[in-house]
Amino acid sequence: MSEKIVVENVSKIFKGRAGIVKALQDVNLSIKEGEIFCLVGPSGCGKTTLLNIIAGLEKPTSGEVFLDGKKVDRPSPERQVIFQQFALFPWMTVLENVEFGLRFKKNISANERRKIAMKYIEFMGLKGFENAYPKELSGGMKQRVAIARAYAVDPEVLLMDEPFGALDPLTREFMQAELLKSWQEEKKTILFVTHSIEEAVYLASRIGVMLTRPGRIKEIVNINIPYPRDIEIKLSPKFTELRGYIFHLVSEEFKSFLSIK
Amino acid sequence: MSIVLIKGAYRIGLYSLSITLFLTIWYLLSTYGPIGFTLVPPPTVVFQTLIKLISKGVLFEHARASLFRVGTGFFAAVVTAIPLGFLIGWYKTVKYLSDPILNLLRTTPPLAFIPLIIMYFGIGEFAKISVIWICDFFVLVIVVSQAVINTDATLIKAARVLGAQDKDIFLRVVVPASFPAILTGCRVAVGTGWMTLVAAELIAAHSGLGYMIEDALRYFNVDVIIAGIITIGVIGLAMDGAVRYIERKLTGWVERVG
Repeated sequence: MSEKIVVENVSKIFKGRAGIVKALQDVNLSIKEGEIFCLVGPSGCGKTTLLNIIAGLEKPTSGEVFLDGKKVDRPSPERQVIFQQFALFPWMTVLENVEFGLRFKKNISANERRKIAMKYIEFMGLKGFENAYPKELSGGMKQRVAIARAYAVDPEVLLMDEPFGALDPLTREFMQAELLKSWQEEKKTILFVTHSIEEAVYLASRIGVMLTRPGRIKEIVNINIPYPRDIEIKLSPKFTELRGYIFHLVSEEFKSFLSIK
Repeated sequence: MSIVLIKGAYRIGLYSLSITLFLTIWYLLSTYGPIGFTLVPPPTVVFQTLIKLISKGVLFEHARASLFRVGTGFFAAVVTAIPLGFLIGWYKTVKYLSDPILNLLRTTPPLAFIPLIIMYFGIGEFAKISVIWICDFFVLVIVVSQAVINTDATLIKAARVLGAQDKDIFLRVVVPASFPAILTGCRVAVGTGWMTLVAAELIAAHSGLGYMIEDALRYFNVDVIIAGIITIGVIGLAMDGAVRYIERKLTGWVERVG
């Protein structure tokens, strides 16, 4: 598989009241076409900052990001972001939300726009809700609208920033399975940021484990569990073993942090 | 269903009780109270005066004059302040250019401008409308520019990622996102405009509810003064209710607490 996203020597330094914070230091990473790559790590490890840089929403202090060999320097519909807070336009119906990105594509008639939007509304199991407003939907449904909206513009990659973090645990499990199902049909490359190790192991083909101060990738772990993955694999020994291994990587940092105090 | 009914009855019951108590105390004080209180006619007399003023068309004439001024001044403010508010919220340059002057002037009560306005425009309709315009203008400029600044950053990011350019983000995200705050601003502007107008009419006018009160004072018609105060209150309440109704109709998508 070819490399879809390449991150080269990316550093990000914030200057704030607390002094200089190295949010990211010399991050190198390549994400393959069609894979689900998860970033896990404790809060403050810079995983969201890295996602925002790849999205073009933030600029790195140094280093570069490439998508299909082209340098990333601004947001673009080819890199869709799914936000933790859903980011649906509350004054628009579900249909209008999903159609939103299509308005800015050239040569799409109003009719085609509607057809494409309806296709992804159905794809995400939202048929019958196209005229509902976001406030009438549950959290899980809102996030499905956001995913439909992202798929509708036919992006190269999906950048998901703790997309299920605001959902209750059961809905979260369900959404993970839904995401895998939609991924297997749409074949998009996905970068998925989460602080849940379990979620990462279930979804990812590879996991980048990040640590803090400075924010960096400590290790990349291959998840050798074949797709399609049934939700039951969460109970398998292999899953538990991988989860334990990653937990161990992250907890070392906690331990060193605690021993300082 | 029945719980809703009981709650409604409870609320309306208390409303009626409050009004009845108020009228009773007023009646007793104005009839049997110490000398200062008996200067005020009892509610029965005020009510008769109100009927008389309505049937002669006097009240209607004055109310119409006042409403015209408030309406025109408010409309002028909407047309001027809302675009300026958007510019201030959207362009830092405009914000920094206008901030010092706006902040200085907005804390000045509009009534303080009256002498200057009289000097330039006399005491005609234009003078009174411009007082309302000044009053509503500052309220709206502040509310609109702040609403633009407060637009949820995540929504702007989402729009940008979906391919929206600055123009699209402004028209399709910032404007609708500011809409509820703008309507609230309109509600505040209508209320303060109304209060300011009556005060302005007390100072310099030949018609309007403020003038009616001022004129009644000259002949010591306390019943007309109180009838005027009640009318002003009722109209203020009605206008507020109307704006709130429009607000609810137009912003059904807003998630509300309770």
